[in-house]
This record gives sequence, C-alpha cells and structure tokens, in this order.
Amino acid sequence: MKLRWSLLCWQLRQVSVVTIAAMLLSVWFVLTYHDPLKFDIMTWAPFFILAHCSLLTWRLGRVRSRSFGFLYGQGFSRDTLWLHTMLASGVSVLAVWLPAALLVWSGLRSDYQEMMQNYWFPLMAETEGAFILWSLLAYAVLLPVFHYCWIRAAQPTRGTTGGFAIAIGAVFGAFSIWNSVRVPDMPTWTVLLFAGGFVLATISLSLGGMRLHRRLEVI
Amino acid sequence: MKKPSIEITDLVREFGTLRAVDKVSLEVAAGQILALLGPNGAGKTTLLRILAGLLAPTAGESRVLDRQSFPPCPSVAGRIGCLIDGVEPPGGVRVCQILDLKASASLGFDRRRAKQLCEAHEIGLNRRWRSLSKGQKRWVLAVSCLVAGAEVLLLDEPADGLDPSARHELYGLLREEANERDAAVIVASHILSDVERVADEVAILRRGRVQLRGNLEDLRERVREVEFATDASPSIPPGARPLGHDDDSGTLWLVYDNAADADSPLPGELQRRTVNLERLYLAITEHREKPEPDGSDRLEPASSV
Repeated sequence: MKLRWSLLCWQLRQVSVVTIAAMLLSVWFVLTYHDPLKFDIMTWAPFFILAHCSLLTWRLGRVRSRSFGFLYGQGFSRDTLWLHTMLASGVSVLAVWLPAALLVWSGLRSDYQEMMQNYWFPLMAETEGAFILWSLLAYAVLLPVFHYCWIRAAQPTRGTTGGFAIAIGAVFGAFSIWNSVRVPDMPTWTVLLFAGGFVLATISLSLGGMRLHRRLEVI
Repeated sequence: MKKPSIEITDLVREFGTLRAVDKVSLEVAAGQILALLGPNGAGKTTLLRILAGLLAPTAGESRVLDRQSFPPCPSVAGRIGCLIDGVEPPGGVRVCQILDLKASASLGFDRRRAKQLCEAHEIGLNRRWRSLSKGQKRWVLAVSCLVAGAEVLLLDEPADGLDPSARHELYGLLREEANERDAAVIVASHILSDVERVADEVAILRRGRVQLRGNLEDLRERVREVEFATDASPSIPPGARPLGHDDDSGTLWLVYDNAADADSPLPGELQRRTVNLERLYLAITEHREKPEPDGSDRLEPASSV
C-alpha cells in the first residue's frame, strides 16, 4: 500500500467542515477556558472527542451515499481505501488539536489568561501539556472502535444492530476503566494492565476493521 | 477461443425476500461487448455491482479476470473500469479532481486523452461537478472509465442524458477499447439502437433471470415474429421455443434451434417476419405484462442462441 495523495485529499474533503468547526471550537475553548486544563476532571473534553469521532466516522462511513459508491467503484484496493480513511481521520484529529497544543505549549494560552488576570496563570501553564496527550490517546482508542462499527454494519452477513452495540460497550468500558485508573494509589501493575488492554483493543480493532473492510458491501 | 474475462455461474443475489438476480450464467471474452437489456428492476445494475465487487453474491459464482469478484481482489481492482448508475462524486469537487482520483487508482490512465475528450465537449477541468449538466456529468464519468486502460469495463447506462452525437462518439470509443485493447465490456442500456450498433452479444434480463442471450446476427436469423388469426391456437413446432405471445394481435415470437427451420411456415399462420432487437425486446418484456392466469412463467429461462 502506498500513499495516494488524490485519495487522501478526497477523503479529507469529506471531513473538512467537521475538521474546521472542531478546530475553531477547540482553539476558542483552549484559549478562553479559565480553569487549568486537566483531562480527568473536565467533562467537556471526552464529549467533544466522542462527538468529533462520531462525526468523522459518519462522514467517512456513509456506505449508502452516492459519493461512497462512487469512491469504492474507482478501482482502489479495499486496503488502500481503509488506510486512507484512517489517515484522513488522523489528519483531522491533528488539525483540530495541533493549534490547541501550540497555544498551550507555546505559552500563548498562559499569557492570554494572565492578561485576563486569571490568578491560576502563569503558574499552571506547564502542567497542561498532558491534557493534549491524553486527548490524543482517547482518539487512538475511540477512532478504531467507531470505524470498526460502520465497517461491521456494512457486512453481507450483518445483523440488525451491526457493530453499534460494540461501540456503546467500548465507550462505556473505556470510561469505566478510565475511572478505575484514576483511583489514588493504584498499583503500577494494574495501571500497566489497563494500558496493555487499551493497546491490545486498539490494535485488534484496527486490524479487525481492516480485515472486515475487505468484505464491505456498498449498496 | 479466448478465456473469458468475465464468468458468471448460477449467480443469485437476494435483498431480503426479493431475488434481484436469479441464477444468471454469462461469459464475456476479452474484446467482446455484451449488452445487458431489460426493463427497470430486471437486475442489471445489481449484476454489474456484483461484478464491480461492490456487492456479495448470495449464491453462485462471479469471476472477473480469473478472480472472485467479491471480496474484490487488490490485483484486479485497478484493472476494472466501472460506471454504476446511481453513484456520483460530491457536488463540490472539480472535474480535474475526479480524473486525478481515477488516475491514481488505474494502471494505464491517459490524462492527455481524458483532458482532450472533456475539453472537446466544453467541459473545463476546473468546473465543479454540480455546475455540469446531466449529459456532461455522464460524459466525464464515461471518459474517466474509457481512458483508464481497464481490461474489463462495466458500464451501466453510460449514454444516459447524452445528446445523439455524444452517444455516437461514446459508443465509438467503447468499440475502440474492445477492438484495440481487447477489453471485455458489459454495457447495460435502454437505447436499443446504440446496442444494436456496438454489441457483439445481447442478454435480455427479466425479473433477475436471463431470458435470452446470443449473438445479434444469430438472433436475426433464428428469431421470427409469426402472426396468426386472433382466434387460432398455434402449436409450437419441434426445434422452436416461444419467446413471447401477444393474444390481442395474435403474434407469437419464436426462437428456432436451427436457422434453416426459421422460415418453414406453420399451419394457420398469416405472416412471418424477422425481428430487430427492439421487437425482440418488446416481445420478451411485453410477455411480462401479460402473465399466465395461473401466475406461471411461460418463458424458458437463460436460453442461449
């Protein structure tokens, strides 16, 4: 599989509106949010990530749309199409979070908050970098799950619920594990176990999605 | 004889309780053009979608370039050009982006020729898809398939919306692809005059089944339209099968096993004529409008001439 720029651009065009809207929202929020950015105590961030993942997979996985049928009839191999769909999702995530990360890491957010006479700043600025990394980790877990769902739902032997039960289960599972990990004094081996579980789930859902994608039906 | 580029054996596709394709068997060799004819809902588009690797067959087998059509084989995907009815790019993309996309998926895409063919029809490469007329959209999609160097072409209503001269040009290009590049072509169309001009073989589908398939010349020699008095009850001679029957006009369409028997008069017949493709198509599809009182299907399925 090699990178096809025209295909990547085609897929990015599908998610351009979602990406631009999410990017503006994240930049605005990161710049103006007056409390320290901490992934584990903020409720908006997981919901923002969930919404972004849902919109990305909805735009890229509309199996019954005319444009989807057109793209899949062009002669690309299924693996190539899958790779570029995942790449387009990844590029969208980076486009949304890179400007926000730059605001945090360059100190612009800190300076702005200090200018607004926020008493937390500039003291907290350096601790906020982890927030971006945790957000990206959440995408790494959720995106393969969401992509797996629409791919599974479009199989010739699909059931009535497709893979959406898996998605709902995975999201609840991720939040439950996340809450357990945050318990103070958690032994290191438990944290490593959960982390290993996340990595394994991400890899297996990615590979499973790629494999099922070869048998995807375009109706 | 060349090995068939497309082989379909007892192919079935069901959508819930609807059987859209029903035990279809066909072969298309390299350099051959097969025209798929049939009324709306006959199963033509479903058949082409299966061959293009977009749909899985429920039963039977479909092979393209010696590989199963579903799941699509990576080494074959780029060697197939398909124009499927009902799919199109998003409205905001430009013509050049559509051609670029096709070029990156195909092995032998001829950009210069694609540009020439679009510009000859006053379609600028920077025009957006939504700004094109129906015929221009069809032309762009057809051109992108025809210049891609594909070994198999699957075209669903390629001339839909084209003006007569563009249609003429399109089918000329199609013939060229088949003759010079040895492409195997299946074209589904309702425009019988075009089909008659370019197709080597025709297959007429009805209710998902192939009712008649054969070489156009053979069909002309072996199919006859016979008129009887309306109160007569003609008997079918040995070596012939009925294709359709119109009680109101007393007309019977017969296909003979041997061309030599096709002009032997039957008792009680008033007139006997050779038929063109249009009459043959109407004979078979008209039969559909007048099923037997018991609901049975009088036509023999998949008769090959």
